Formats: sequence, structure tokens, C-alpha cells
Amino acid sequence: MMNLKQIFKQIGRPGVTARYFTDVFADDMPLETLAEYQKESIRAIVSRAYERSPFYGEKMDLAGVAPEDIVELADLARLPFITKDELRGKPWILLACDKKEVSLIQVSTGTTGGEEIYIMNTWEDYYRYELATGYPTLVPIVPGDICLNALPYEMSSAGLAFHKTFMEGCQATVVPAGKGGAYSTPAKTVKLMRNLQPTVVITTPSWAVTLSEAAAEESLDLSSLPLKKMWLTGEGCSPSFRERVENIWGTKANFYYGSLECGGVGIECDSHNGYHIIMGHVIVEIVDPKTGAVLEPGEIGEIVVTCLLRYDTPILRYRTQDLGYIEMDPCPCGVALPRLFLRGRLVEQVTICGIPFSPFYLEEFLMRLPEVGNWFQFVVPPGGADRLKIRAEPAPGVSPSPELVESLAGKMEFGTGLPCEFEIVDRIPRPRGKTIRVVEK
Amino acid sequence: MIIDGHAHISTTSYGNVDLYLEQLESAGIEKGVVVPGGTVDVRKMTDYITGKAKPENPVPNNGYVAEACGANGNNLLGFVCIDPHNPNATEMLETSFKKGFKGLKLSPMTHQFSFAGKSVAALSACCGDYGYPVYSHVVFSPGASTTRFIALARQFPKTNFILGHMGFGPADREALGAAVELKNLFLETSTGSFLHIKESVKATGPDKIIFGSEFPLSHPAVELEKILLLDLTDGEMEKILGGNIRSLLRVN
Repeated sequence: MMNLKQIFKQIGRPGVTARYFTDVFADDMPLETLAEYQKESIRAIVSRAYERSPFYGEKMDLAGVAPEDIVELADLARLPFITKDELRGKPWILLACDKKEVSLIQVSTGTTGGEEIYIMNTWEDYYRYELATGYPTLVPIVPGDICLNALPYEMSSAGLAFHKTFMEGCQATVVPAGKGGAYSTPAKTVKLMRNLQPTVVITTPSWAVTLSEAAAEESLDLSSLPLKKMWLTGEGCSPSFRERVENIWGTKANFYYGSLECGGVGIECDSHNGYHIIMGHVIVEIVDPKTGAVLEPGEIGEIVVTCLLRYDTPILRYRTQDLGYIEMDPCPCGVALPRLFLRGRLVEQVTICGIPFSPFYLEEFLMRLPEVGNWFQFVVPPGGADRLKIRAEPAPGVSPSPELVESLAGKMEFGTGLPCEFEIVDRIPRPRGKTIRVVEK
Repeated sequence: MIIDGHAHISTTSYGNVDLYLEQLESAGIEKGVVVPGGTVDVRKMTDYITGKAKPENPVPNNGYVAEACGANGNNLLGFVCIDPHNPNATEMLETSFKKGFKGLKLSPMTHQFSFAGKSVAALSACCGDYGYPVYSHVVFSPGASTTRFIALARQFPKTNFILGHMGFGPADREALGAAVELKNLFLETSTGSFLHIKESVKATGPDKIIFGSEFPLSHPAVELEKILLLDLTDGEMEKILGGNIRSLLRVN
């Protein structure tokens, strides 16, 4: 059977990618060459977007920018931003091709806003462009690897995206376990793992914990699986929570950062030293959230993403509402791609003592406390609170007591400076959909 | 009489009581106030401050201090170090005072508590009841910062508080301002900056400054030299070098 690798050999890579990725992968390419590739890609995409997409045409006209104005990479900053609000409830707004060319429509599953965001994929973009290059150093998955894909396959892009990457991009074996759907129960997934002995697992952090609980019930020692690595994506979590996942599964767990709108943005290496920006697929800018000015490396701002392989649904200077900064220093792992560090979100902050905090920041200190179990909630009314109330399960073998509650509050306050109170409960309900860490009551 | 107001002793080769007594003698210092050392290896102190390393021995060796003070009663005065997370913290403190300890040493870096916690409040109140001081350093973590320590001193005006190392960093203006304002807040000089110590004495007067060495991280003679270089009268010097700490500990 012919696979995409063979197809590429026969018909070649599309457009700009043919000149750059025939003999070298993006995570092994000199940065200067990547910059040239990015420049060519952005020119091609901007021109096409302007000509074929009324949305982009109007925006660029209003901003007084013509495609010919985009010459150097820095000229990208002349383009106007696009935002989530512009896309909500408007399925076809980004389309730069005929509707009949659309092969796959994926729908946002976020809980922040109301109306859905739709992302159209043509076969050309989804397969030929998206898979025109890979990152085998960062994602060392090869034929023979059995990849348990425990991400949702319905609506969103996550499960299908990695299914495609592992199967068509890496020529590996994929087990479509899914996550919490009608058939993908934890118990069934544990059976699959026992029978199939996967070498790779990709899932969300909280589902990794759910699966581990099911594995314990089925007497499956996860560390006995021949796992070479885990990838965690689909929801954020703190480094200390990830460390717990690693300890439970007995393998390295690396984060993957991306979104429905932008696709993949960054991949963590084993150094756990930020996300290497996948520069074959995206350009990342950090901008001041208030002024929109482009910031320097090391400065924290809003992450803005431009896709380099989306010709039929262009994504140009998309404001993610995520906060972060870029680090240019060399990484110990040897991959030259600059690294992106996340610092929470502009939205979904919780306000304690009048100060906004990222829940991931609070989670980091909470998950450093071994007496606290893996399931917790921050109880914060919509208007904020003067004290951070934490509802949590105790870790196995830990007996709740007033002294424990006081001790945990003290340790949490040491790290955060916030007045804290703990409510230890026997069990927090396991989420059916996305895990919600902040509740109102 | 010169008293070193702050030193750590442990069973280590670099920080044991015999070595400390030798250094005191070579520096011409008669007495030392000692707390348990060895919860961290001070030879890699920066790693603990930045969070790269975690304390290897979080249980303070108060027994070693008690034994050393018992054997060298004329030269050593002990502070007990207590982890506020210990459910029996207050009882342990009372027992320690009855056994002869002269103050409470808190260690946020080792035990990672908040100065605003209930247990710390209970310990502070107990010190006030017994008339012995609370000594602590502060860290960058917001729960155990200079601000929090000052709030604690303000909350317990009957308890004396000694802030180690002149506060956090080379010139903690917040700590200095509080020492001027609060009668019960004192600054201890070990590893502090010379200019900041000089400015502090000028601002607070000599009554609020306590000489300390931070042995084994520093040598008592080195830290003493900083004080001797201050342009002070004999009376002022006497307070900083021993009078203030004797008054707080109610010893002759």
C-alpha cells in the first residue's frame, strides 16, 4: 500500500516546501534557511489570502497594507491581527478556496466563549502541506511504534490531528482510543494497553490520571508498558502536575502546545525547557496585549501565531489570548529552534485579593504538596475572593485532619502569598468532558 | 563583652561546635547565640534560595544545640528551631524554653511555611509569654517575605522579633523602615552590606542592631570587622556587639 511518504516521492512536495524540505527536516535546518523559507511562505500565503478571501482583502485594505508590502519577515507586523471574536459563529469566513474543496471541518470545544469557531481543512492543506515536513528529533516516533491516541476524536482537531501525524507522517501504528467518549471508557482503554503494549501514549494530563486510576483497578502496572514517551496536550497543566503523571506512568512526558485554529505551535523536548517553536509550520510573535507592539525575546506578552502551511484557510497574526515569551538561547538538547514559554492566559484568570492569577500558577504550588491528591478545584466566585479556597482529595494513605488542613494552607501561602483554606473531600467527581479546575462554589 | 548574635552549629566537618568555639576565640568573642545547622548544606546556599535544591535534612537537630550549650554554658546560648507545620509546635517550644533555650529560630527556607499561618501566630504568642525573641530570615517567596515578617511583629507587639541578615538582599529598606517604626523589631547584621548597616544604625540608633556572624557561612571575625569599622562611640558599639542581645535574652 502506498503511503504519503511514497506519494511525496512521486509527486513532490507542494509549493514553497518543495524547495526547502526535500532533504532536511525542520528541526534540523539552520535558522537562517528557515527564515528564508518563512519569508517565501508568508509572501505566498498573504498574496493568496488577499486575492481569494474577502475577509482578508477587506482587513488589509482597511489597514492600508498590500501584499507587495510584505517583503521581509518583520513586515508581518504591518498586517492586522485576527481574533477569536472575529471567527465565532462564522464557519466560512477564512475560506480562500471553493467550498467544495473542503475535506474536513473541525469545531472548537473551548469553554471560554459562546459561539463556535470552525476551521476548514482542504485535503491539500491537511495532508500535503501539513505533512511536508516533520520534527523527528523532537518527536522520535518511527514505524513499529504503537501509539495509543487517547485524545478526543469528536468535534475537535486533537485526536484526528495526531492520528494523521502518527500514521501518515511517522508511518507508525495508531490505536484510536479516544477520550471519554461513548466507547472509550477508561476500563476499555486499559484493556487495550494491556493487550497491545503501546510504546507511545498521547493524551491530556487529567485523562492520564483517570487512566492510571482505571489501570490500578485492573491491576495493570503502567510502568511495565514499553513506553518510550508520553505526550500531553489538549489542556494546560503545571510542571509539578506533569511530574506526577511521569511518576505514575514511569516514562518521560512532554508537552505539546497547539490549538484548533493554529494547529501545532510548539513541542517540548526531553530537557523540559520550553516549547521548541515548529518554525516549519508557524511564525510566533509576542505582542503587548494592550498596544499590539511586537516585544523582544524574554518579554512576556500575548502569543500571536501565523500559519505557514495554511493556504486555503489562512491564519495570519492570530491572537491566541495565551501569554508567554520566547527564549533564543541554545537548548541543551541541541535542537536550534527557539523556545516558547507559556505564562497562562489573558482570560480564565482567577482574582484573589484583587490580583489576577493563572490557575496553572496556583496549581504548580498545590501539586508540589505530596499530601494533596491529583484531583482538586479552586473555589473562586466570579467576582473574586479574599481567600483562595481549595477543595482537594487527599493523596493515597493521607488522613485528613485539622492539623493537615492548617499545614497545607501554610505551605500554599508560602508559595503564593495568598491566604488559603483547604477543604479535603473524599472524592471530586471525574469530569466527562474537559477538566474544570476553577469552580464558583 | 562581645556576643555573636547568630550562628549555626551542626555535626558537619565545616560547621561543628568545636570549630565554632575556635573561631570565636580567634576573634576575641566571648559568647555565641547558636541555632541548629545542617538542615541545608550552606556550601550551596544559592541553590536553596533559588529553589534549585531542597533541604536535605529538614528536621532540626535541637539536641545537638542543647548538648553543646550544656557543655559550654559560659559561651553558648541556644535558640530552638521548630517547624510550624509540626502539630505539636507550641508544646515543643514551651518544653524547649523550660530546658534552657533562649529564643525561637524559624526557617522558612527549610520548612516552607507562611508567617501569616496560625501556627506561627501561636509560636509568636508563646515567645511573648516567655519573654524570648523570634529570629528568622526572610525569603523571596511571598508567604515568608519581609512584608509578612513585619506584619507578624506588628501583630504581636509583646514579642521581640529579630530579622536575620538585615532582611532580604543587600539593602532591605522595608525592613529598616519597620525597625525604625516598631519597638519590637530588631535587625541582625550577619552577611549584611556594610553601607546598609551603617545607614541602618544611623536611622534606628544603636539599640536596634544586633551583631551576628552566620557561622559557618561566614567567620565571626569577618563579620565583626564590619561593625568595628562603623564610626561609633564605645557605648554605641557595646550595644550592637552584645548589649542588645543580652537584653533580649535576659542574660548578664
